[in-house]
This record gives sequence, C-alpha cells and structure tokens, in this order.
Amino acid sequence: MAEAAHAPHHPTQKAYWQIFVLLAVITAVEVAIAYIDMPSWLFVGGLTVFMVMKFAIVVGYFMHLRYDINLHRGFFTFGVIGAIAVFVVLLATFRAL
Amino acid sequence: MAVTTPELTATEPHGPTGLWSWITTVDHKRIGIMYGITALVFFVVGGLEALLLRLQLASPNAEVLSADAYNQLFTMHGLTMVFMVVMPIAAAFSNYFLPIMLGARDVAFPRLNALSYWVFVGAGLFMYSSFILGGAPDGAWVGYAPLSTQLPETVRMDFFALGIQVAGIASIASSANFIATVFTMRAPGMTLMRMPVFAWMTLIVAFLLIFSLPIVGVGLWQMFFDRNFGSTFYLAAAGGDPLLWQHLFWLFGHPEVYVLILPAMGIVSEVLPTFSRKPLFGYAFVVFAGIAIAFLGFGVWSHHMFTAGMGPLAEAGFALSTMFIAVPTGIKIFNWIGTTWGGSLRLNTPMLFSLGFVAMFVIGGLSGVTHSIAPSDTQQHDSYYVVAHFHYVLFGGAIFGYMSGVYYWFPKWTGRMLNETVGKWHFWLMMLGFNLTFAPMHLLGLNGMPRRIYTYPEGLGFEFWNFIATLGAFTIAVSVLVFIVNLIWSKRKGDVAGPDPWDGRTLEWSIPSPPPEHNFDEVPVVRSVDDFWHRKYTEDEEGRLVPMPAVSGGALAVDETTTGGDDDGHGEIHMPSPSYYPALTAVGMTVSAFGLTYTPWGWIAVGVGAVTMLLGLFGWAVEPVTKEDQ
Amino acid sequence: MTDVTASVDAPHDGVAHDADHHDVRPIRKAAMWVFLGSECMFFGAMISTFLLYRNTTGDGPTAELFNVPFTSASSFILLMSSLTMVLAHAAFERKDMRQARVWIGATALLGSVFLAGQIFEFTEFVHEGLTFTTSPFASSFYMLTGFHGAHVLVGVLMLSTMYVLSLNGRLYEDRGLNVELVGLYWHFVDIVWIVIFTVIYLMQV
Repeated sequence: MAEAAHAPHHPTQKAYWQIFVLLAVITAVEVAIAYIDMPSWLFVGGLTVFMVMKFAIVVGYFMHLRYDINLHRGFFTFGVIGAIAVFVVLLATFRAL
Repeated sequence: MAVTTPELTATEPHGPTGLWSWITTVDHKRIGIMYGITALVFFVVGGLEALLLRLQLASPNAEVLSADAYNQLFTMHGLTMVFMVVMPIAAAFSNYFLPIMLGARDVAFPRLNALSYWVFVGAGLFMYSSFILGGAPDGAWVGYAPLSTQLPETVRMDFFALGIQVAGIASIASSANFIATVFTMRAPGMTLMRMPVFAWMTLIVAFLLIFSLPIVGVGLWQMFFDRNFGSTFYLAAAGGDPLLWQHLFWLFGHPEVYVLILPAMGIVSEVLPTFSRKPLFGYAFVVFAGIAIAFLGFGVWSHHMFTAGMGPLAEAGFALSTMFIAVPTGIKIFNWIGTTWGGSLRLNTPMLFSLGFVAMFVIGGLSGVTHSIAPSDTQQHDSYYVVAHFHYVLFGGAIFGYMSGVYYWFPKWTGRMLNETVGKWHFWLMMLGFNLTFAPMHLLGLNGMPRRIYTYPEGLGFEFWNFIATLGAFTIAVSVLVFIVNLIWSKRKGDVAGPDPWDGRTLEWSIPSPPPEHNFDEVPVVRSVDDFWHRKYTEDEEGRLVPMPAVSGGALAVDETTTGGDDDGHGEIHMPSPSYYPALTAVGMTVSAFGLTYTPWGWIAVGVGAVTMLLGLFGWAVEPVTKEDQ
Repeated sequence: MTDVTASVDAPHDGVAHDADHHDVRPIRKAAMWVFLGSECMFFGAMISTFLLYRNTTGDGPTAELFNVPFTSASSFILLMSSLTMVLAHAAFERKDMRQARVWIGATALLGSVFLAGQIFEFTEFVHEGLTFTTSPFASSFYMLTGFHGAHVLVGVLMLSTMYVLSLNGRLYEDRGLNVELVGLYWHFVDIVWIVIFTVIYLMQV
C-alpha cells in the first residue's frame, strides 16, 4: 500500500494500444447492436454491459485507477455509485425508468 | 532554545499589513478571519431584513412593507442566512482551525482557498447588487418553478440562479481543498480516528457539499436557461415538469441542512469536553453518527415534497428514511449529555452557548421528527410550524453552536478574551429573544398561519403571538448588538489570553495566541485523541486527573511542542507566497455573472469576465507556489 | 483510537508527507479525483433530466433524428484522444519531452475535431427543426451535450496551453497544470461521452 501513488506497474506503450483496439472493437459491437432487431431487455441490457466495460477499462487502465491508492478509488467510486443510486430513485419517483 | 514562558501580550503575528496584503493573502488564518468578518456583516444585514419582516407581521393589516418588498426581503433573508452567514461562518472556523487541529501549516491549496473566499464575496455582492438593479430575488430561497421561471423580463430570479451558482463554485473549491487537506496534510501520528471531532465534521461537510452542489448547479442552469434562452425544462405547457426543480433543489437542499448544522455539532463536541474536563463520551460514535447522517442525508430529500403528489410508495419510503436519520442525531445528543455527566463543569460563555445548542437543537429535532410522518406533514406544510422548526435547528442549533465557537476561539484569533460578563448577557438575551420569537410560531403554524404571506387579517387569532414574536426578534437584535460591542471592545481591551486559556484538549491550544504565520515551529507528533490534554495531564492510581509531573506548570507547559528545534530555524519553513491571481479570477467570474444577467448586451461583460478569469487561471497555473527568495 | 502506545510513525493512507517539503503531486491528484467524483453528480443530474424527458418531444423531432454513423465516428475520435493522452503521460513519465509534446498536440487536435463535429451536428439538428427551445427533450439534449462540449473545450484549452509551454521546455510536474492531472480530466470527459453515446444516442434510436 505505501507509496502506491507512484504506481510502478503502469501498462506498457504496447498495452495501451491493445486496450485502445479493444475499446474500438466494443464500440463497433455496440453500434452493430443498435442496428439489429432484438427484445428491448436484451438491447438495453447488452448496451449497458458494453458501456460499463468501456467505462471500467478507461478508468482502470487509462486513468490508472486500478493501480491507484484506495483513497482515490473511494472518491471516484463514491461519486459514481452515489450518482447512480440517487438518480435511479429520482427517476423512480417520476416512474420514468 | 529553552521553554520560554509565553509572552503575555497580544502580538500581531501576520507579517505585512495593509489592504493589498489582505487581498493577496493565502494564509488560511487570515482567510478564515475574512470569512468570519464577512459572515458577521451579512448576519447583521440578514438580521435587519428579519426585523423589517417582523415589524410588518407585528400587527394585522400592517403597511410597513408592500407585498413586493416583503417577498424580496424574506427571500433575501433566507438566502443570506444560509449562503452568506452560516456557510461562511462555518468556513471561517474550518479555515482557521482545520489545518491547526491536524498539525499542518496550511490547507492543501492555499491559493484555491483564497479563490473560494473571493468568489464567495463576489457572489454576495452580486446577489445584494440586485436591490439597486431591478429588485432582489423574490421567489423564496427554494426558488420553486414555475414561480421562479415566470417574468423572464425581470432580472430578480436571475440573480438567484447565478448568485447561488457562483457561491456554489466557491464551496466546491473549498470542499475539495478541505478533503485534500484532511487526507494528505495530517501531522505524523494524527490518524483519522485521532482527529478532533470538529475536523471530522468539516470533512463530512466537505463531502456533502462536493457531491450535492453539482446537482443544484444543474437545476440552477435549467432555471436560468428557461428564463433567458427559452428552454422548456420547467414549462408545463411544453411537457416540462416543474417537479424536477424541486427534486434537484432538495437533493442539494437536504444535505445542505447538514452542511449548516454539522460544523456547529463539531464545535459543541470540542467545547463540551473542554468545559467538562472529560473526554468526549463515545468519540467513535459521534464520528460514525456524523458519517451516517451524511449518507442518510442523501436519501431523505423528498420529505420536503410530501404535498407534491409523488404517490404513497415514495412518500412512505422517504418518511421511513427520515425517521432513520433521527437515530444518528439522537446518538450525538446522548453522547453530549454523557460528556457533561459527572464532569466538573465550568459555565463560561462558550459552554453556555453549547448547552443552549443541545437544548434548542433537541426541540428543533423533535419537531423535525413530526415532519417525517407524511400525513401529519401534509397539515404542517408551508405553515409557520415549519418556520419554527427550521429556526430551532438553524438558529437555536447552528447559530448557538457558532456563537459558542466564537467565544471559545476568539482568544486564539486575537490573543484576548471576550468579556465574560457581557458574554453572559449576550447569551441570556439571545436565548430569551430566540424563544420568544420562534416558540410562538409553533402555535401560529398549528393554528393555520401560512408562511410567506406579507400580512394577515384581524380576528384569526394570529395577533398576540405575532406581536410576541416581533418583541422577541428585537430582543435578539439587542443581544447581537451586545455581541458586536463585546467583539470590538475585547479585541482592544480584553484580558490577555495566553496560549491555552480554557485548558484545552486539541492542538490549537499548544501554539501561541494568535498563532504565528507558520502555525507550528515544529510539526507536532500525535499519540492519541486529545493529544495535547494527555501531554498536560495523567491519572493517578485512583483514576483522578493530575497534572503531568514533568511539566508542573499545567496549562503553561504549552511550549513543549514548540521547542526542541532551534528557534532560528524558521528560515527553513517555506510558506506559500501571496498571490493576486485568485482575487483576479474571482473578479472575472463575478463580472461574467453580471453579464449573463443582462444578455444579450451582457455577452460583452461575459467575454471580459471570461478573459479576466482565464488570465487569472493561466497566471496561477504557471506561478510557482513558493517564490524563491526575493 | 486512544491507543497511546501506538507507534507514531505508523504509515497512514500511504500518503507521504513532510510538512516542510511535501510533494504536492499526490495532494493535487486526490483533489482531482474527488472533483471528478463531484462531476459524476453534475453529469448524472443532466443525464437523468434527459432520461425523464426522452419521450417528451412535443411537436418537434424525436431521437430518430440522431445520426448514429456520424456520432460513432466522433465517439471513435474522442476514444482515440484518450489513447494519445495516456501516451503523452507515459512519455512524460519517461522524461521523453519531445514525444510527450507530440501526443499532447495530437490530443488537443483530436479534441478540436470532436468539437467541430459537435458544432456540425448541432447545426444539422437546428436545420431539421430541433432547437434548444423546441421541447424538453431538445432542451435536455442540448444542455447535456453542450456542457460536455464545454468540458472538452476547457480540456483543449489546457492541452494547448501545455503544448505552448512545452515549446520552451516548461512542462512542469509540480504546478497546477500538469500532464497527469489534465490527463485524468481528459479521460473523465471521455468516459462521460461513453455513457452519453450509449444512453443518449444508441439506446434512444
């Protein structure tokens, strides 16, 4: 834990390119899904899963949160989870989900 | 250098003086003092507004104020007291004492701290300039749509939308600053669970603000766009839903009430142990209750909207979560009572105000619980009962807590004590006036008097209690006058305090009063909660408190912390250099806000303001924190 | 908590500090992360507003208007700018200032292309009858994508400033404006777009 702030294990240059290719492929799959007919739960569910994957990959590897100290992870997770929780309840009171 | 007896004189510690030095200062102590003085000025202004309101309501069909003036004044009274008094007075204490309590020399970002202050001042001047620029905001501090989005050709509610927006930016900046300070600047050994409760509450408030302000920020922009650029967020005719504003506002507004009260609870949690000569009863419980309040505080916002028609399920859910939040609050009250239980109490003015806080807050808390029951709240909604409730928590609670803080820490700020006799007069007058003003409002509300009305007809049974409330308001005014006289007189002629007048427990009492610019000659090493106390006292075999044998001087043994190093070693301490970029950036932001109010011509001012802001930020970004020797 | 015997130099939170010469980088980074957490609430509120009004289109155009191939292309560009940003940071950490400058410039450029695309998209939509005032749907769409665009603009300004500073070899790591912090901000703007692209564009057409 000590001095993880200076994160010695960042991905290599090559890994960054590979991650980028992966992100591009996921985006392509997402766009493809948008053009295929499927039940709406599968459509929304599938897109959400891919969106979360992209989100997690960028945060984890490009923003290095995977290698960062717990404190920073906590700050950001609190914001993301808090926002989801609060706004899901808000939309639920409007029956708009 | 050996332990010198602290010089019993009040010295000016702050180095250079003069207006420019205050504008460019990045010293957290000077910024704290500026926050405090600004808050006091706004407290007087907001209080005068309240007096005018009370004069108008003292008798039926009174004509002291027109309906229009009344609307502006009660709106500005609310906005002033929330955003320009209680938040900045809390910021004053946090700025001054958070770094010192943590054993740090400054906050994490001294220049950002200055920016927060100047942006806050800009927001205050901006909002108050509305009185001469076409009328002040008149849609209540909650600014409900569609009332707030009507009459887009006037500027009143634009001052509301942009003023709070700008004040919010200041608070976000200072919150990020305090959070970074707590997590990265603590002295060696100062673990989180050894922090004074006040530091904890400051941290929790910073989290509340930084996660809730962006939400109302979005709502304020939507209100502003609806008013000025023809968007339809709250326009029911176009399918927009005004209820969305209520949600976005209270998603911020409810955490905000904890923002107002938690620092006061922190102060009381410092004062009660000091004046009971006992450790805080259940330190961990008080801390975790604070954290629990913060979490739950994000889950109760809709209890302000029980009459908005959300449906029984939502109302039941929010009623339950609201009842839950009374539990951690109750825990704190038990802990405070437990702290004083069996202690050797000293009833000095800070202690009186803290005890007053506990008593008045219990009353306000109990009437709050009655609001959590949705059917009962439906009856009380928008009546004077609600006005009574939130004044009991925000005046009887928050203001009493902050007054306690002023009496407690004034010696640390100025090196002189506030006069005790005058202080006691202040306390009792304020206590009397406060209860005379707000207790009758419970009855008025339950008898059906609605809030936010500028007058009422005869014969409804409102006359007597309204008159009493007005009498009470003027009693409060007298007590504030007594307070101000005490401040001014004691600053010049008060008894010299010395570093530790109250036999304190936390680190600020280990350094001279007023503290030197760098706070600590040598960074303290912390071994426990109330570390400074444990350096002064120990227990004998029977558990009785005895002074530490090594330092028989008791309270005067304070210089222990500041010795060890050679005193001439100050040259090694690099304090951040003064900078005018924060003030420049704040000026740019305020000018932009004025411009946005008066679009389309105002776009020129927006441009000028934006360029000024960019210049300030650019200069800031490339300017080194500590300039090399001049 | 009241353990008096606990070792006073026990590490806490993994944050180094030496009050006299503390390293300001981890402090700034902590503040940036908490600020980004706060931004989640900001964009969350706007995304919720959009979701609330996603079908409230009145007589105006609906989400059918969205041009998915075009937006996919601009999403790809923003994704690529995240790659160039992280490469700039990696080069900076290696002290390879020349490469760092190249990648910073590339990131600023890609960001500008994204902004140009957004201006083009907005212009198209306005021509087809979707203005800021058309319906709550339109208002919330423009507000959300507009504030995102404003964030991109701020990022481009910071990147351009760093590019100019780097020409004189003045890429600091101890000042407010540094590659790591701007990088975090930039990636955050990218992940907000990842959500917007999926939830606002793909899910609604």
